[in-house]
Amino acid sequence: MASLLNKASSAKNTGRITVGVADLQVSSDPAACIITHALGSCIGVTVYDPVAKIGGMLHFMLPSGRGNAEKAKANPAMFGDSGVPLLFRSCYDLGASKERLIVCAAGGAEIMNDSGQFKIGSRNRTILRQLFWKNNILLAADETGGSISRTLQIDLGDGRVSFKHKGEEKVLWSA
Amino acid sequence: MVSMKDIIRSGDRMAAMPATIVKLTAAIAQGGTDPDEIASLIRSDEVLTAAVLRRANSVLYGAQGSTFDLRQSIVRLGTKNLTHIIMEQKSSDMFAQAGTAFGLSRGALWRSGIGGAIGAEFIAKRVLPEGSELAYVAGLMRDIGKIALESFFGDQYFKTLEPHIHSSRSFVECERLALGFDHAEVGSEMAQAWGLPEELSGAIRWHHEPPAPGEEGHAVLNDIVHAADAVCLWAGLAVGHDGLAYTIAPHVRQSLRLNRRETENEIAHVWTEARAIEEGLNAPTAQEKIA
Repeated sequence: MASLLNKASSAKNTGRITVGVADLQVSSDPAACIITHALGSCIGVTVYDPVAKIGGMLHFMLPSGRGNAEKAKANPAMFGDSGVPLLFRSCYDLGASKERLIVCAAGGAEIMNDSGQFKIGSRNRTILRQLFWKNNILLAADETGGSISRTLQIDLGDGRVSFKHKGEEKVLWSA
Repeated sequence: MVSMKDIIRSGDRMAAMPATIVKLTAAIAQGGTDPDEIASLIRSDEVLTAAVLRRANSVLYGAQGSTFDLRQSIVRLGTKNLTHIIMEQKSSDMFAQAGTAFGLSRGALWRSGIGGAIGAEFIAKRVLPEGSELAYVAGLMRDIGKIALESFFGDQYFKTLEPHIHSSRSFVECERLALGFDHAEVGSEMAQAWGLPEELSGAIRWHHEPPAPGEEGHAVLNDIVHAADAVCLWAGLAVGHDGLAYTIAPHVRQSLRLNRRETENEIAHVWTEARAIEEGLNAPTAQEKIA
């Protein structure tokens, strides 16, 4: 976990930063752009402090690591309930302020006929909303659900958040 | 309209199915591989030798602080692990260049194959232990039809399907409307043409829509590979333009005794193992692109 924290908290993250599955990245470089590809049932969360121009992104795979403590410890970014707090903490470590953070989310898609059997995508959406509700955090914008894949991107110069589906880009949030 | 034979013929333009895979698969279907033959295969192939040394000396196999030479590594890993390493390495030759037609970067389809293999073996150990090795191969090979379709259509494949894509239709339904057949049928035909065992071509054929018990074509192996395919989607291993536009056969949850918690553990397990194998084989990093 220490290595992940160090990596996530690195202020040296610059340029185009790719976030993999079960991964998170933060940066204080206003020229940086953070991107994650192929969000299916996984959820991508972006946070941005427009004053400090600090931001980050998490790509988590499963809602909770409670039944899988070993994996949650080894890779907290795999789970929503450990990854989201780590994302926020990593941004605070760089100097971001909770009061100023703009938070967006995308992903959480579902296999078409999964009517309550597994519901990985919707359980990912639920854990996110629970975490935000408990911590008084409002989602500025989200693009979740359906059965499509999405690419999520945040530009740290102005905090603009966009997503792509099959190459077509749409703005999710901008100042 | 293009025929399935045209697609299969395009196999001439794609990487041929390695003879080693055909041979090993036949041996697995007949009950097991020959340890001496496996060791001989590895010794005669420097890429395989390097992969075996890396795996035997990796932390994944508890090799902290120890160094094993090739002979020790072969003994240490055992026939089953060695067979997997050969399959993984040889299949990467076929899969590594494919995927862009489906909105994936090169390498992502291979990573999904590895994930399917791990997932299918994991489920089979619980519900069909005697078939766990064949499940591994079937999970690995389930999407070979995508390689042929990409070889034939190139990056125009999705444009061919576009008029039929609708949120109420699964991806394989779109393929059938556009072409008259889907990638699972193409893969199954290819497996038959390569002389792979019937159980394997059946598992490839039905990996998206496995027949229920009592229906023609039903087999537990097909259900296993179908569930492993869904696990790979949830693990984010190969989410391309097709997204999650697939269905889960309603009977599979019961027949495989899947519950939510076990399934989530399996998703985490598959992702972790697939990543470790990818790093161990020094494969190209597969970063799925173009959502």
